Amino acid sequence: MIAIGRGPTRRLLEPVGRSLVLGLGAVVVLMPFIWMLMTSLKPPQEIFTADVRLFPADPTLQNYVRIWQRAPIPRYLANSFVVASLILASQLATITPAAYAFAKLKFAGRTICFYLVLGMMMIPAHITMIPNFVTVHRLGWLDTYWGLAAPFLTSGFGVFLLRQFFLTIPDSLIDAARIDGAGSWRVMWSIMVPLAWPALLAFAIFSFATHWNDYFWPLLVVRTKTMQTIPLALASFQNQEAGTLWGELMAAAVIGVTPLLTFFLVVQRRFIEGITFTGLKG
Amino acid sequence: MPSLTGYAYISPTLGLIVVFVYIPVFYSFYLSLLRWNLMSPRSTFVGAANYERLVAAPEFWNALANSVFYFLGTVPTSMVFGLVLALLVHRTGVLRGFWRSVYFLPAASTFIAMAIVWQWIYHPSIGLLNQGLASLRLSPIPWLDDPRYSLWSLIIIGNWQAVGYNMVLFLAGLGNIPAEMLDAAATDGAGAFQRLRHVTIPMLSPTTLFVLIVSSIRSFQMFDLAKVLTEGGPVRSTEVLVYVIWQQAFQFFDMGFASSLACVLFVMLLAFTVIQMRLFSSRVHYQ
Repeated sequence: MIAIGRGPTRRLLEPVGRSLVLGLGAVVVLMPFIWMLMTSLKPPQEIFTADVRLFPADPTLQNYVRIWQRAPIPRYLANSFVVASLILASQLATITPAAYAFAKLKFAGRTICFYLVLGMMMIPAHITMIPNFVTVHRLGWLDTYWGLAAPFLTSGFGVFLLRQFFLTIPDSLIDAARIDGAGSWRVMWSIMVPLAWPALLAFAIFSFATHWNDYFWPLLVVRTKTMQTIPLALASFQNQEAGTLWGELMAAAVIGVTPLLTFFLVVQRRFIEGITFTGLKG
Repeated sequence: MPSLTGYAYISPTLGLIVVFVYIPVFYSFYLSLLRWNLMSPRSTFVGAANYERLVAAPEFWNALANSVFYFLGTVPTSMVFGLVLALLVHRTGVLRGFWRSVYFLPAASTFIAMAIVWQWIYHPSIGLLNQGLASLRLSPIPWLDDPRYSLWSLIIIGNWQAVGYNMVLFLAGLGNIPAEMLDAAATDGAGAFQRLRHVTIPMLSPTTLFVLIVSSIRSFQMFDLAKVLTEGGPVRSTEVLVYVIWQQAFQFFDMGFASSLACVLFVMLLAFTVIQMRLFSSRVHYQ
Protein backbone atom coordinates (compact mmCIF):
# COMPACT_ATOMS: atom_id res chain seq x y z
CA MET A 1 0.00 0.00 0.00
CA ILE A 2 2.72 2.48 0.91
CA ALA A 3 3.99 1.79 -2.53
CA ILE A 4 6.29 4.61 -3.54
CA GLY A 5 8.64 4.95 -0.60
CA ARG A 6 11.74 6.96 -1.35
CA GLY A 7 14.24 4.45 -0.17
CA PRO A 8 14.16 1.91 2.64
CA THR A 9 14.55 4.46 5.46
CA ARG A 10 11.29 6.09 4.62
CA ARG A 11 9.54 2.75 4.32
CA LEU A 12 10.65 1.96 7.83
CA LEU A 13 10.11 5.38 9.34
CA GLU A 14 6.61 5.94 8.07
CA PRO A 15 4.85 3.15 9.99
CA VAL A 16 6.90 3.89 13.10
CA GLY A 17 5.98 7.58 13.01
CA ARG A 18 2.38 6.74 12.38
CA SER A 19 2.21 4.32 15.30
CA LEU A 20 3.88 6.89 17.52
CA VAL A 21 1.28 9.56 16.67
CA LEU A 22 -1.59 7.11 17.02
CA GLY A 23 -0.18 5.83 20.30
CA LEU A 24 0.08 9.33 21.76
CA GLY A 25 -3.46 10.11 20.66
CA ALA A 26 -4.65 6.86 22.20
CA VAL A 27 -3.16 7.83 25.56
CA VAL A 28 -5.23 11.03 25.53
CA VAL A 29 -8.38 9.24 24.41
CA LEU A 30 -8.05 6.39 26.89
CA MET A 31 -6.89 8.50 29.83
CA PRO A 32 -10.41 9.08 31.28
CA PHE A 33 -11.09 5.32 31.21
CA ILE A 34 -7.82 4.51 32.94
CA TRP A 35 -8.29 7.27 35.51
CA MET A 36 -11.85 6.07 36.19
CA LEU A 37 -10.70 2.49 36.75
CA MET A 38 -7.70 3.46 38.89
CA THR A 39 -9.71 5.84 41.09
CA SER A 40 -12.35 3.17 41.63
CA LEU A 41 -9.66 0.86 43.01
CA LYS A 42 -8.20 3.38 45.44
CA PRO A 43 -9.09 3.70 49.14
CA PRO A 44 -10.28 7.22 50.17
CA GLN A 45 -6.97 8.31 51.68
CA GLU A 46 -5.26 7.74 48.31
CA ILE A 47 -7.91 9.74 46.45
CA PHE A 48 -7.76 12.80 48.69
CA THR A 49 -4.10 13.42 48.37
CA ALA A 50 -2.05 16.20 46.89
CA ASP A 51 0.20 14.17 44.59
CA VAL A 52 -0.87 12.36 41.44
CA ARG A 53 -0.38 8.62 41.40
CA LEU A 54 -1.87 6.66 38.58
CA PHE A 55 -1.83 3.22 40.18
CA PRO A 56 -3.36 2.56 43.58
CA ALA A 57 -0.67 1.73 46.13
CA ASP A 58 -3.13 -0.40 48.04
CA PRO A 59 -5.80 -1.56 45.54
CA THR A 60 -9.17 -2.36 47.05
CA LEU A 61 -12.67 -3.30 45.94
CA GLN A 62 -14.30 -1.49 48.84
CA ASN A 63 -15.75 1.25 46.60
CA TYR A 64 -17.58 -1.41 44.58
CA VAL A 65 -18.86 -3.15 47.69
CA ARG A 66 -20.12 0.12 49.20
CA ILE A 67 -21.93 1.37 46.11
CA TRP A 68 -23.46 -2.04 45.56
CA GLN A 69 -24.75 -2.07 49.14
CA ARG A 70 -26.03 1.47 49.12
CA ALA A 71 -27.88 1.49 45.80
CA PRO A 72 -30.00 -1.11 43.99
CA ILE A 73 -27.53 -1.40 41.10
CA PRO A 74 -29.02 -4.67 39.73
CA ARG A 75 -32.41 -2.98 39.60
CA TYR A 76 -30.99 -0.07 37.55
CA LEU A 77 -29.22 -2.46 35.19
CA ALA A 78 -32.45 -4.45 34.85
CA ASN A 79 -34.46 -1.29 34.11
CA SER A 80 -32.06 -0.27 31.35
CA PHE A 81 -32.10 -3.79 29.97
CA VAL A 82 -35.90 -4.08 29.99
CA VAL A 83 -36.43 -0.69 28.33
CA ALA A 84 -33.78 -1.22 25.64
CA SER A 85 -35.11 -4.75 24.95
CA LEU A 86 -38.72 -3.62 24.81
CA ILE A 87 -37.81 -0.92 22.31
CA LEU A 88 -35.70 -3.30 20.22
CA ALA A 89 -38.38 -6.01 20.12
CA SER A 90 -41.02 -3.54 19.02
CA GLN A 91 -38.72 -1.95 16.45
CA LEU A 92 -37.79 -5.30 14.88
CA ALA A 93 -41.44 -6.37 14.78
CA THR A 94 -42.55 -3.15 13.05
CA ILE A 95 -39.64 -2.33 10.73
CA THR A 96 -39.32 -5.80 9.19
CA PRO A 97 -42.76 -5.92 7.50
CA ALA A 98 -42.54 -2.22 6.60
CA ALA A 99 -39.12 -2.60 4.99
CA TYR A 100 -40.30 -5.69 3.12
CA ALA A 101 -43.38 -3.87 1.82
CA PHE A 102 -41.33 -0.85 0.70
CA ALA A 103 -38.78 -3.06 -1.03
CA LYS A 104 -40.85 -5.79 -2.62
CA LEU A 105 -44.61 -5.10 -2.61
CA LYS A 106 -46.40 -2.76 -4.96
CA PHE A 107 -49.22 -0.55 -3.73
CA ALA A 108 -50.57 2.92 -4.41
CA GLY A 109 -48.88 5.66 -2.34
CA ARG A 110 -45.80 3.58 -1.61
CA THR A 111 -43.32 6.35 -2.43
CA ILE A 112 -45.17 8.99 -0.40
CA CYS A 113 -45.36 6.69 2.60
CA PHE A 114 -41.66 5.88 2.30
CA TYR A 115 -40.78 9.57 2.31
CA LEU A 116 -42.90 10.02 5.44
CA VAL A 117 -40.86 7.30 7.12
CA LEU A 118 -37.56 8.79 5.92
CA GLY A 119 -38.63 12.29 6.97
CA MET A 120 -38.76 11.06 10.56
CA MET A 121 -34.96 10.92 10.56
CA MET A 122 -34.83 14.66 9.88
CA ILE A 123 -36.91 15.58 12.94
CA PRO A 124 -34.85 16.04 16.09
CA ALA A 125 -36.10 14.74 19.43
CA HIS A 126 -36.31 18.12 21.16
CA ILE A 127 -39.23 19.25 18.98
CA THR A 128 -41.31 16.16 19.74
CA MET A 129 -40.43 15.73 23.40
CA ILE A 130 -42.93 18.17 24.95
CA PRO A 131 -45.97 16.78 23.07
CA ASN A 132 -44.78 13.23 23.67
CA PHE A 133 -44.37 13.99 27.34
CA VAL A 134 -47.94 15.35 27.43
CA THR A 135 -49.20 12.20 25.68
CA VAL A 136 -47.40 9.84 28.03
CA HIS A 137 -48.56 11.92 30.99
CA ARG A 138 -52.21 11.77 29.86
CA LEU A 139 -52.00 8.04 29.27
CA GLY A 140 -50.83 7.67 32.87
CA TRP A 141 -47.58 6.13 31.65
CA LEU A 142 -45.15 8.31 33.56
CA ASP A 143 -42.76 6.20 35.56
CA THR A 144 -43.53 3.00 33.61
CA TYR A 145 -41.57 0.90 31.14
CA TRP A 146 -44.22 1.69 28.52
CA GLY A 147 -43.73 5.39 29.01
CA LEU A 148 -39.96 4.99 28.68
CA ALA A 149 -40.33 3.04 25.44
CA ALA A 150 -43.34 4.75 23.83
CA PRO A 151 -41.72 7.32 21.48
CA PHE A 152 -39.21 4.77 20.17
CA LEU A 153 -41.42 1.82 19.26
CA THR A 154 -40.44 2.05 15.61
CA SER A 155 -37.49 3.48 13.71
CA GLY A 156 -37.37 5.30 10.38
CA PHE A 157 -33.65 4.62 10.17
CA GLY A 158 -34.29 0.90 10.72
CA VAL A 159 -36.85 0.76 7.91
CA PHE A 160 -34.45 2.56 5.59
CA LEU A 161 -31.50 0.33 6.44
CA LEU A 162 -33.41 -2.92 6.12
CA ARG A 163 -35.14 -1.86 2.90
CA GLN A 164 -31.73 -1.24 1.30
CA PHE A 165 -30.80 -4.82 2.14
CA PHE A 166 -34.09 -6.30 0.97
CA LEU A 167 -33.68 -4.49 -2.36
CA THR A 168 -30.50 -6.46 -3.05
CA ILE A 169 -32.32 -9.80 -2.72
CA PRO A 170 -33.37 -10.94 -6.23
CA ASP A 171 -37.09 -11.17 -6.98
CA SER A 172 -36.56 -14.58 -8.57
CA LEU A 173 -35.99 -16.02 -5.11
CA ILE A 174 -39.35 -14.68 -3.94
CA ASP A 175 -41.14 -15.84 -7.10
CA ALA A 176 -39.77 -19.34 -6.65
CA ALA A 177 -41.10 -19.51 -3.11
CA ARG A 178 -44.44 -18.13 -4.28
CA ILE A 179 -44.77 -20.84 -6.87
CA ASP A 180 -44.17 -23.35 -4.09
CA GLY A 181 -47.22 -21.84 -2.39
CA ALA A 182 -45.64 -19.61 0.27
CA GLY A 183 -47.61 -16.47 1.19
CA SER A 184 -45.85 -13.13 1.54
CA TRP A 185 -45.69 -13.52 5.34
CA ARG A 186 -43.83 -16.82 4.95
CA VAL A 187 -41.57 -15.36 2.25
CA MET A 188 -40.64 -12.49 4.51
CA TRP A 189 -39.75 -14.53 7.59
CA SER A 190 -38.23 -17.62 5.98
CA ILE A 191 -36.40 -16.07 3.02
CA MET A 192 -35.86 -12.35 3.48
CA VAL A 193 -35.07 -12.18 7.20
CA PRO A 194 -32.44 -14.94 7.23
CA LEU A 195 -30.67 -13.27 4.30
CA ALA A 196 -30.75 -9.82 5.90
CA TRP A 197 -29.42 -10.82 9.29
CA PRO A 198 -26.20 -8.76 9.05
CA ALA A 199 -28.31 -5.61 8.62
CA LEU A 200 -30.70 -6.69 11.36
CA LEU A 201 -27.85 -7.41 13.74
CA ALA A 202 -26.12 -4.10 13.05
CA PHE A 203 -29.38 -2.26 13.58
CA ALA A 204 -30.14 -4.19 16.77
CA ILE A 205 -26.76 -3.25 18.25
CA PHE A 206 -27.17 0.38 17.26
CA SER A 207 -30.66 0.58 18.72
CA PHE A 208 -29.81 -1.21 21.96
CA ALA A 209 -26.77 0.98 22.59
CA THR A 210 -28.69 4.19 21.84
CA HIS A 211 -31.44 3.43 24.31
CA TRP A 212 -29.19 1.92 26.95
CA ASN A 213 -27.31 5.24 26.97
CA ASP A 214 -30.25 7.57 26.63
CA TYR A 215 -30.50 10.16 29.38
CA PHE A 216 -32.88 12.79 28.05
CA TRP A 217 -36.19 10.95 27.73
CA PRO A 218 -35.85 8.91 30.95
CA LEU A 219 -35.08 12.18 32.76
CA LEU A 220 -38.56 13.40 31.81
CA VAL A 221 -40.50 10.18 32.36
CA VAL A 222 -38.97 8.58 35.45
CA ARG A 223 -40.32 9.82 38.79
CA THR A 224 -39.20 7.28 41.37
CA LYS A 225 -35.82 5.80 42.20
CA THR A 226 -36.87 2.24 41.44
CA MET A 227 -37.61 3.11 37.81
CA GLN A 228 -34.26 4.78 37.15
CA THR A 229 -32.15 3.53 34.28
CA ILE A 230 -28.37 3.38 34.57
CA PRO A 231 -27.61 6.86 33.14
CA LEU A 232 -30.23 8.44 35.41
CA ALA A 233 -28.97 6.59 38.46
CA LEU A 234 -25.38 7.67 37.74
CA ALA A 235 -26.44 11.28 37.37
CA SER A 236 -28.31 11.19 40.67
CA PHE A 237 -25.36 9.60 42.52
CA GLN A 238 -23.26 12.44 41.21
CA ASN A 239 -25.80 14.94 42.49
CA GLN A 240 -25.83 13.47 45.97
CA GLU A 241 -22.18 12.70 46.34
CA ALA A 242 -20.15 15.15 44.33
CA GLY A 243 -17.13 16.28 46.23
CA THR A 244 -17.12 13.51 48.74
CA LEU A 245 -17.16 9.96 47.47
CA TRP A 246 -15.25 10.01 44.20
CA GLY A 247 -14.06 6.43 44.65
CA GLU A 248 -17.61 5.12 44.89
CA LEU A 249 -18.76 7.36 42.07
CA MET A 250 -16.01 5.99 39.81
CA ALA A 251 -16.91 2.44 40.83
CA ALA A 252 -20.50 3.20 39.82
CA ALA A 253 -19.26 4.64 36.51
CA VAL A 254 -17.23 1.47 35.87
CA ILE A 255 -20.32 -0.64 36.55
CA GLY A 256 -22.31 1.64 34.25
CA VAL A 257 -19.98 1.43 31.24
CA THR A 258 -18.96 -2.22 31.58
CA PRO A 259 -22.01 -3.96 30.03
CA LEU A 260 -21.96 -1.87 26.87
CA LEU A 261 -18.17 -1.76 26.53
CA THR A 262 -17.89 -5.52 26.91
CA PHE A 263 -20.56 -5.91 24.30
CA PHE A 264 -18.71 -3.45 22.06
CA LEU A 265 -15.39 -5.26 22.40
CA VAL A 266 -17.02 -8.61 21.58
CA VAL A 267 -18.94 -7.48 18.51
CA GLN A 268 -16.95 -4.36 17.59
CA ARG A 269 -17.09 -4.80 13.84
CA ARG A 270 -20.88 -5.08 13.81
CA PHE A 271 -21.15 -2.35 16.38
CA ILE A 272 -19.25 0.09 14.19
CA GLU A 273 -21.18 -1.04 11.12
CA GLY A 274 -24.41 -0.41 12.99
CA ILE A 275 -23.35 3.15 13.54
CA THR A 276 -21.84 3.83 10.12
CA PHE A 277 -24.50 2.08 8.05
CA THR A 278 -26.29 5.36 7.50
CA GLY A 279 -26.29 5.05 3.74
CA LEU A 280 -22.73 6.27 3.26
CA LYS A 281 -22.38 3.98 0.30
CA GLY A 282 -24.84 6.23 -1.50
CA MET B 1 -55.41 -9.30 -2.16
CA PRO B 2 -51.80 -8.33 -2.70
CA SER B 3 -52.55 -4.59 -2.65
CA LEU B 4 -53.91 -4.64 0.90
CA THR B 5 -50.94 -6.63 2.21
CA GLY B 6 -48.63 -3.68 1.59
CA TYR B 7 -50.75 -1.35 3.68
CA ALA B 8 -51.07 -3.91 6.45
CA TYR B 9 -47.27 -4.29 6.56
CA ILE B 10 -46.49 -0.61 6.77
CA SER B 11 -49.36 0.48 8.99
CA PRO B 12 -47.79 -0.25 12.41
CA THR B 13 -44.66 1.73 11.54
CA LEU B 14 -46.53 4.53 9.81
CA GLY B 15 -49.09 4.78 12.60
CA LEU B 16 -46.42 5.05 15.29
CA ILE B 17 -44.48 7.63 13.30
CA VAL B 18 -47.58 9.75 12.80
CA VAL B 19 -48.51 9.55 16.48
CA PHE B 20 -45.05 10.10 17.97
CA VAL B 21 -43.35 12.27 15.34
CA TYR B 22 -45.61 14.11 12.90
CA ILE B 23 -48.53 14.99 15.16
CA PRO B 24 -46.08 16.19 17.87
CA VAL B 25 -44.38 18.54 15.40
CA PHE B 26 -47.69 20.27 14.69
CA TYR B 27 -48.76 20.04 18.30
CA SER B 28 -45.50 21.73 19.34
CA PHE B 29 -46.29 24.63 17.05
CA TYR B 30 -49.82 24.81 18.47
CA LEU B 31 -48.50 24.75 22.05
CA SER B 32 -46.14 27.58 21.20
CA LEU B 33 -49.22 29.79 20.67
CA LEU B 34 -50.58 29.10 24.16
CA ARG B 35 -49.84 30.17 27.65
CA TRP B 36 -50.06 26.93 29.55
CA ASN B 37 -48.64 25.81 32.85
CA LEU B 38 -48.19 22.05 32.83
CA MET B 39 -49.64 21.88 36.33
CA SER B 40 -52.94 23.51 35.45
CA PRO B 41 -55.68 22.15 33.18
CA ARG B 42 -56.41 25.56 31.64
CA SER B 43 -54.54 27.16 28.78
CA THR B 44 -54.96 30.52 27.06
CA PHE B 45 -54.41 31.27 23.39
CA VAL B 46 -51.90 34.09 23.20
CA GLY B 47 -50.96 34.15 19.51
CA ALA B 48 -47.38 35.18 18.86
CA ALA B 49 -46.80 36.43 22.40
CA ASN B 50 -44.33 33.65 23.22
CA TYR B 51 -42.28 34.50 20.14
CA GLU B 52 -42.28 38.20 21.04
CA ARG B 53 -41.13 37.29 24.52
CA LEU B 54 -38.43 35.03 23.05
CA VAL B 55 -36.96 37.74 20.85
CA ALA B 56 -36.82 40.07 23.86
CA ALA B 57 -35.44 37.43 26.26
CA PRO B 58 -31.74 37.71 27.05
CA GLU B 59 -31.81 34.00 28.07
CA PHE B 60 -32.62 33.08 24.49
CA TRP B 61 -29.81 35.12 22.94
CA ASN B 62 -27.38 33.92 25.58
CA ALA B 63 -28.34 30.30 24.91
CA LEU B 64 -28.10 30.81 21.16
CA ALA B 65 -24.65 32.35 21.53
CA ASN B 66 -23.53 29.45 23.77
CA SER B 67 -24.86 26.87 21.31
CA VAL B 68 -23.10 28.55 18.39
CA PHE B 69 -19.90 28.75 20.45
CA TYR B 70 -20.16 25.07 21.32
CA PHE B 71 -20.77 24.25 17.66
CA LEU B 72 -17.72 26.28 16.57
CA GLY B 73 -15.62 24.68 19.30
CA THR B 74 -16.54 21.08 18.56
CA VAL B 75 -17.49 20.57 14.90
CA PRO B 76 -14.47 21.90 12.93
CA THR B 77 -11.87 20.44 15.31
CA SER B 78 -13.51 17.05 15.71
CA MET B 79 -13.87 16.81 11.92
CA VAL B 80 -10.25 17.75 11.19
CA PHE B 81 -8.86 15.44 13.87
CA GLY B 82 -11.31 12.73 12.84
CA LEU B 83 -10.09 12.96 9.24
CA VAL B 84 -6.41 13.00 10.20
CA LEU B 85 -6.90 9.96 12.43
CA ALA B 86 -8.84 8.18 9.70
CA LEU B 87 -6.02 8.81 7.20
CA LEU B 88 -3.47 7.50 9.69
CA VAL B 89 -5.51 4.49 10.77
CA HIS B 90 -6.58 3.60 7.22
CA ARG B 91 -3.02 2.67 6.27
CA THR B 92 -2.06 0.70 9.36
CA GLY B 93 -2.92 -2.66 7.82
CA VAL B 94 -3.22 -5.41 10.41
CA LEU B 95 -3.68 -3.00 13.29
CA ARG B 96 -6.48 -1.04 11.66
CA GLY B 97 -9.24 -2.76 13.63
CA PHE B 98 -7.34 -2.24 16.87
CA TRP B 99 -6.84 1.52 16.42
CA ARG B 100 -10.38 1.95 15.20
CA SER B 101 -11.74 0.34 18.37
CA VAL B 102 -9.45 2.34 20.64
CA TYR B 103 -10.52 5.67 19.21
CA PHE B 104 -14.15 4.66 19.02
CA LEU B 105 -14.28 3.73 22.72
CA PRO B 106 -15.53 7.16 23.93
CA ALA B 107 -18.42 7.06 21.46
CA ALA B 108 -19.32 3.51 22.49
CA SER B 109 -19.45 4.08 26.23
CA THR B 110 -22.34 5.32 28.35
CA PHE B 111 -21.93 9.04 28.00
CA ILE B 112 -23.30 10.04 31.40
CA ALA B 113 -20.77 7.77 33.09
CA MET B 114 -17.92 9.36 31.18
CA ALA B 115 -19.26 12.86 31.83
CA ILE B 116 -18.99 12.13 35.56
CA VAL B 117 -15.44 10.85 35.05
CA TRP B 118 -14.61 14.15 33.34
CA GLN B 119 -16.08 16.03 36.26
CA TRP B 120 -13.65 14.16 38.48
CA ILE B 121 -10.77 14.94 36.09
CA TYR B 122 -11.80 18.62 36.26
CA HIS B 123 -12.01 18.64 40.07
CA PRO B 124 -10.65 22.02 41.23
CA SER B 125 -8.18 20.78 43.84
CA ILE B 126 -7.59 17.03 43.50
CA GLY B 127 -8.58 16.47 39.87
CA LEU B 128 -6.10 14.90 37.46
CA LEU B 129 -5.70 18.05 35.34
CA ASN B 130 -5.12 20.50 38.16
CA GLN B 131 -2.79 18.10 39.93
CA GLY B 132 -0.89 17.77 36.67
CA LEU B 133 -0.69 21.57 36.39
CA ALA B 134 0.46 21.78 40.00
CA SER B 135 3.23 19.29 39.41
CA LEU B 136 4.42 21.52 36.56
CA ARG B 137 4.29 24.42 39.05
CA LEU B 138 1.46 26.05 37.10
CA SER B 139 -1.57 27.58 38.76
CA PRO B 140 -4.78 25.52 38.73
CA ILE B 141 -7.62 26.27 36.31
CA PRO B 142 -11.21 26.44 37.66
CA TRP B 143 -12.44 24.28 34.77
CA LEU B 144 -16.14 24.06 35.53
CA ASP B 145 -16.44 26.72 38.21
CA ASP B 146 -15.55 29.84 36.26
CA PRO B 147 -17.74 31.23 33.47
CA ARG B 148 -14.61 32.02 31.45
CA TYR B 149 -13.64 28.35 31.26
CA SER B 150 -16.82 26.33 31.76
CA LEU B 151 -17.99 26.18 28.14
CA TRP B 152 -14.45 25.46 26.96
CA SER B 153 -14.33 22.55 29.41
CA LEU B 154 -17.52 21.11 27.92
CA ILE B 155 -16.10 21.65 24.41
CA ILE B 156 -13.06 19.55 25.34
CA ILE B 157 -15.35 16.69 26.39
CA GLY B 158 -17.44 17.13 23.25
CA ASN B 159 -14.34 16.82 21.08
CA TRP B 160 -13.07 13.84 23.04
CA GLN B 161 -16.31 12.04 22.34
CA ALA B 162 -16.89 13.12 18.72
CA VAL B 163 -13.41 12.58 17.23
CA GLY B 164 -13.58 8.79 17.23
CA TYR B 165 -17.11 8.78 15.90
CA ASN B 166 -16.13 11.06 13.01
CA MET B 167 -13.01 9.00 12.39
CA VAL B 168 -15.11 5.87 11.95
CA LEU B 169 -17.37 7.64 9.46
CA PHE B 170 -14.34 8.92 7.50
CA LEU B 171 -12.80 5.44 7.55
CA ALA B 172 -15.95 4.06 5.95
CA GLY B 173 -15.64 6.77 3.29
CA LEU B 174 -11.96 6.03 2.68
CA GLY B 175 -12.80 2.37 2.20
CA ASN B 176 -15.03 3.33 -0.72
CA ILE B 177 -12.28 5.09 -2.69
CA PRO B 178 -11.12 2.71 -5.41
CA ALA B 179 -7.45 1.81 -4.93
CA GLU B 180 -6.91 2.01 -8.72
CA MET B 181 -7.52 5.75 -8.62
CA LEU B 182 -4.76 6.29 -6.09
CA ASP B 183 -2.47 3.91 -7.97
CA ALA B 184 -3.15 5.73 -11.23
CA ALA B 185 -2.30 9.06 -9.61
CA ALA B 186 0.87 7.56 -8.18
CA THR B 187 1.92 6.20 -11.59
CA ASP B 188 1.40 9.67 -13.00
CA GLY B 189 3.95 10.87 -10.49
CA ALA B 190 1.70 12.40 -7.84
CA GLY B 191 3.34 12.53 -4.42
CA ALA B 192 1.59 11.57 -1.20
CA PHE B 193 0.43 15.11 -0.51
CA GLN B 194 -0.80 15.63 -4.06
CA ARG B 195 -2.76 12.39 -3.95
CA LEU B 196 -4.36 13.50 -0.71
CA ARG B 197 -5.17 16.93 -2.08
CA HIS B 198 -6.42 15.92 -5.53
CA VAL B 199 -7.80 12.41 -5.11
CA THR B 200 -8.58 11.46 -1.52
CA ILE B 201 -10.14 14.70 -0.27
CA PRO B 202 -12.39 15.26 -3.33
CA MET B 203 -13.43 11.61 -3.30
CA LEU B 204 -14.29 11.90 0.40
CA SER B 205 -16.53 14.92 -0.09
CA PRO B 206 -19.88 13.08 0.19
CA THR B 207 -18.68 11.64 3.52
CA THR B 208 -17.44 15.03 4.65
CA LEU B 209 -20.80 16.66 3.93
CA PHE B 210 -22.57 13.87 5.80
CA VAL B 211 -20.25 14.17 8.82
CA LEU B 212 -20.67 17.95 8.81
CA ILE B 213 -24.45 17.72 8.88
CA VAL B 214 -24.60 14.96 11.48
CA SER B 215 -22.13 16.62 13.81
CA SER B 216 -23.73 20.05 13.46
CA ILE B 217 -27.12 18.66 14.45
CA ARG B 218 -25.57 16.75 17.34
CA SER B 219 -23.70 19.79 18.62
CA PHE B 220 -26.83 21.96 18.61
CA GLN B 221 -28.65 19.26 20.56
CA MET B 222 -26.07 19.07 23.33
CA PHE B 223 -27.84 18.74 26.67
CA ASP B 224 -26.37 15.99 28.87
CA LEU B 225 -23.11 17.78 29.69
CA ALA B 226 -24.80 21.07 30.52
CA LYS B 227 -27.36 19.32 32.70
CA VAL B 228 -25.13 16.89 34.58
CA LEU B 229 -21.87 18.81 34.95
CA THR B 230 -22.81 22.46 35.26
CA GLU B 231 -26.64 22.85 35.47
CA GLY B 232 -26.19 25.56 32.84
CA GLY B 233 -23.89 27.56 35.11
CA PRO B 234 -21.91 29.20 36.45
CA VAL B 235 -23.88 32.37 35.66
CA ARG B 236 -25.60 30.86 32.62
CA SER B 237 -22.25 30.34 30.89
CA THR B 238 -23.20 26.82 29.74
CA GLU B 239 -26.90 27.31 29.14
CA VAL B 240 -27.34 25.96 25.62
CA LEU B 241 -30.61 25.99 23.66
CA VAL B 242 -31.84 22.50 24.54
CA TYR B 243 -31.01 23.13 28.19
CA VAL B 244 -33.17 26.25 28.21
CA ILE B 245 -36.02 24.39 26.50
CA TRP B 246 -35.83 21.67 29.15
CA GLN B 247 -35.62 24.23 31.94
CA GLN B 248 -38.62 26.24 30.74
CA ALA B 249 -40.72 23.12 30.19
CA PHE B 250 -39.79 20.90 33.10
CA GLN B 251 -38.54 23.25 35.79
CA PHE B 252 -40.80 26.26 35.24
CA PHE B 253 -43.60 24.24 33.54
CA ASP B 254 -43.99 27.04 30.99
CA MET B 255 -44.97 24.72 28.13
CA GLY B 256 -45.95 27.48 25.69
CA PHE B 257 -42.69 29.38 25.93
CA ALA B 258 -40.64 26.16 25.89
CA SER B 259 -42.47 25.05 22.75
CA SER B 260 -41.76 28.35 21.03
CA LEU B 261 -38.05 27.87 21.78
CA ALA B 262 -38.23 24.29 20.46
CA CYS B 263 -39.91 25.46 17.25
CA VAL B 264 -37.30 28.17 16.70
CA LEU B 265 -34.47 25.70 17.22
CA PHE B 266 -36.14 23.21 14.86
CA VAL B 267 -36.53 25.78 12.09
CA MET B 268 -32.97 27.03 12.59
CA LEU B 269 -31.53 23.52 12.40
CA LEU B 270 -33.55 22.73 9.30
CA ALA B 271 -32.44 25.97 7.61
CA PHE B 272 -28.85 25.37 8.67
CA THR B 273 -28.89 21.86 7.23
CA VAL B 274 -30.35 23.06 3.94
CA ILE B 275 -27.77 25.87 3.70
CA GLN B 276 -24.93 23.42 4.36
CA MET B 277 -26.25 21.10 1.68
CA ARG B 278 -26.65 23.96 -0.82
CA LEU B 279 -23.26 25.47 -0.09
CA PHE B 280 -21.31 22.28 -0.23
CA SER B 281 -23.22 20.07 -2.63
CA SER B 282 -21.73 21.97 -5.58
CA ARG B 283 -18.32 20.94 -4.27
CA VAL B 284 -19.29 17.37 -3.51
CA HIS B 285 -18.06 14.87 -6.06
CA TYR B 286 -20.13 11.74 -6.31
CA GLN B 287 -18.62 8.73 -7.99
